[in-house]
Amino acid sequence: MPDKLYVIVESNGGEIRSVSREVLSAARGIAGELGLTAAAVATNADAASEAAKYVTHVVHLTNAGLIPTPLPEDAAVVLAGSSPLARDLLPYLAAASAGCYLGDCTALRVEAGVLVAERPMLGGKAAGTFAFEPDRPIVVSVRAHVFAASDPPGVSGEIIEQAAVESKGIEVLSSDRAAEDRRVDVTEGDIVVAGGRGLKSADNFAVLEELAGTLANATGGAVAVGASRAVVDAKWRPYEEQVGKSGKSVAPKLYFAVGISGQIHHILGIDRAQVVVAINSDPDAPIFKYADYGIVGDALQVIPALTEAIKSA
Amino acid sequence: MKILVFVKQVPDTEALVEALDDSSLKVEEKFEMSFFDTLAVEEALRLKEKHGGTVTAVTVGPERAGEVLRTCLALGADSVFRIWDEALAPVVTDVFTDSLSVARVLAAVAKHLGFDLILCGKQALDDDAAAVGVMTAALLEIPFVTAVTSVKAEEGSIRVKQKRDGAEREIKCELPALLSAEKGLNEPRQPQVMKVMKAARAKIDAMDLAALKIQADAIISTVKPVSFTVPDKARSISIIEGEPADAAAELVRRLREERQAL
Repeated sequence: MPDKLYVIVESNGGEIRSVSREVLSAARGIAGELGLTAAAVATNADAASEAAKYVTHVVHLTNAGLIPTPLPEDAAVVLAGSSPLARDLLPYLAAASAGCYLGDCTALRVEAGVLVAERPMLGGKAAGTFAFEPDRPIVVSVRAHVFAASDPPGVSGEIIEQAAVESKGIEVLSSDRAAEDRRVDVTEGDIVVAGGRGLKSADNFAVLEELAGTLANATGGAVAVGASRAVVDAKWRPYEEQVGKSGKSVAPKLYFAVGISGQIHHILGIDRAQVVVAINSDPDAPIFKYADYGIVGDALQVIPALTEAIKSA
Repeated sequence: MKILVFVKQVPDTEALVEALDDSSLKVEEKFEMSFFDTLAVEEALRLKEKHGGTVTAVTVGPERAGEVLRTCLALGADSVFRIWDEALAPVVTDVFTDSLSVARVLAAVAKHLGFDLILCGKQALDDDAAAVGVMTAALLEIPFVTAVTSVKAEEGSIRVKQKRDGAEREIKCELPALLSAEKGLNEPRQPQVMKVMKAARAKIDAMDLAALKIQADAIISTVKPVSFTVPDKARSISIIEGEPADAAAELVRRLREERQAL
């Protein structure tokens, strides 16, 4: 009888992913309400030892770069934070076990003893509440900032090592990580500073980078740089930074839209931000309808002033 | 090389969405091929042009979804198949798609037609699920690589690039395999007018579940939307006036005091 709720715990460069910690923090509560025991599957040793502080049973998958791996037989629920790995692994596990899969959820809770999830639909224009077919494994990922991270409850869990099943026919020939790419992913930023055409050139994004660095120093939080589709299409910024439909959907505490006009496809990616600040030289730009605070002005003057104001505040 | 491309018709970015009540949504009837699928079609055509073979486009959807197959024909696909059946209506609606049911259909189509390579978009731009491709690969028990930015065919295998967590990986994948297309893979071509006219007259055949020997109980709502909202995304703006330095200082003060955001 499946009686466990497994959390997939990942680390990225030594530290456990912030979204993994958020999900781990919520796992025991959800498992308890479902009458399940919280457990974890960790993709490396660091993730396993961190997971063991939250749950009593941890499977450390060795060589987990090579998953897919089968769903543990005692899994009633598998929960992960949204990530590229989760997007490959979770649908695979669900299909292989005839389970129910819903990815990138924006809420997850127990109602009348069963799991219920919320998720955007139709490219973010609508939101739905979803139920799962009973008596099947439920495989779900939730986005960053859906659950709050909390300190470990002081558990000392048992870690079991298990070799991942290799995916047949796949060979990773090389993996190059550029040094400059060790930055905060735009979906995981507590603050996101995003720029558009109004910055006038790729080089001018330096003023946004400086603002991001200053905000990170001042708040101690994770600050990410984002971009509008227009500047990604113009190759000023990499696609990884694109915010909006066909890019990433973000939910930071604070979002700066700098020189971004506010096309519908951008708005669809920022509606879960807690506070939106718009800076644009065009007072009629649509972005001002979707922002909480606005400054009408040239981004290249306002942003350096903002950086100074934060330094001196 | 025998290439299958999975495409999906999705509501246009500008299509209006309205909640009729909390359990029904209405979508304006404006549709297009999902953006990432256009990249998959383009890559299939390029592989065919370079290495020979055939490109077959497949979609699961009601009659209107045949339009995306016309587009595939106009672009140069050799053949197209639309899969539809009354039994699919509850799991493939205007507003939601049950990924596992569609993956079961597509896996059956792939077995029925035979293939060396399957290409699809990394996700559909309506539900953004990114699930059907991976699930189809799982059901077919073939290797898959998602969100590829470069594809190079070799003898019996394929070499792809994928960006993940800031790292660029080069991966060798044995055929048959499934790949999903990421933005940046290519710049899709525009169809020629003559071919568009010819495709407009083409008869788009539909296949049903019986033709694919799919059991009715394979089609099931594993995940079901039970209620909807259409959130109002507008916020009420406070415009902060003044010279840049003054406005910036005032913004910092208000973010700190009113929102505890700094």
